Amino acid sequence: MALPQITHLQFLILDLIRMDDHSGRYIRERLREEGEKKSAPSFYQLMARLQDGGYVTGWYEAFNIDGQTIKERRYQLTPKGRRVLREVRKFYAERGAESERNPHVAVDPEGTIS
Amino acid sequence: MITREFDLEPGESIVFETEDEFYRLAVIDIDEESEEILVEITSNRDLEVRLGDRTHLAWGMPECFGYPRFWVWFSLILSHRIRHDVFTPTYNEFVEDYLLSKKQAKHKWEKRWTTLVFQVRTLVMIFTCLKMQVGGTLGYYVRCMIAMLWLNSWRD
Repeated sequence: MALPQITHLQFLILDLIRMDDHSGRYIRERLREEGEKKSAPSFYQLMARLQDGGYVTGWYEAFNIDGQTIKERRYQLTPKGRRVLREVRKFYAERGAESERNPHVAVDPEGTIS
Repeated sequence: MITREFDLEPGESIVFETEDEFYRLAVIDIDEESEEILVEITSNRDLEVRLGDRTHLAWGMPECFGYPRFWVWFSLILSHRIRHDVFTPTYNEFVEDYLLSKKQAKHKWEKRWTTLVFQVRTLVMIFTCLKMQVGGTLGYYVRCMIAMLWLNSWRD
């Protein structure tokens, strides 16, 4: 089976938006909760790369604060993103099952694979 | 209203151009399984697209007045890509934070402190965007140089 096309961080982002569309701010806060701190510019660059790859789609939604119109960037998973997410899940599920079946591969308590 | 029909396959797009405006409509993907069509709309101006009860905007600079409007000037030195992908969404978040903080600040010194904090944050944002732009441009030239050197050595 081919290796996943996306990184762990990209997988995490796609997984966060798999059910519903979310704002960039919300995704960044959820990433922070997962221990992945990103500044706003580097986060949006990351999202732009995901968008270039066709995994997510982004648009602006407007709201008003003190008479000023603010436009919030929101993201949604595309059909391609959903396909990739499924493939990555399947890849690791198969690898996990393979590791359990194969007695020669063992993981010691320190986490190294022998 | 004039209605025209176009047959578009994924990867194809149509562009509407006038003297100072352009609108590009591209079909990105068609998922027959879930009956979804993914369409990307690009415009150099604010463009509202209404689908059912939802409104989508094709361009996202806040309509600012007062202090935040000066931050937009900085974006003029950035490339279109960095401005569109990085600066605009960051700037929108930034203005939102600024307006909410200003709303909460009641005393004079609190307002001054808020302004100072956001000036520092502006500098950080400017520095990060510039770093991305320089990194992107430098990276491109370094890649080109390596490719040229490799081609020359291969020819020899």
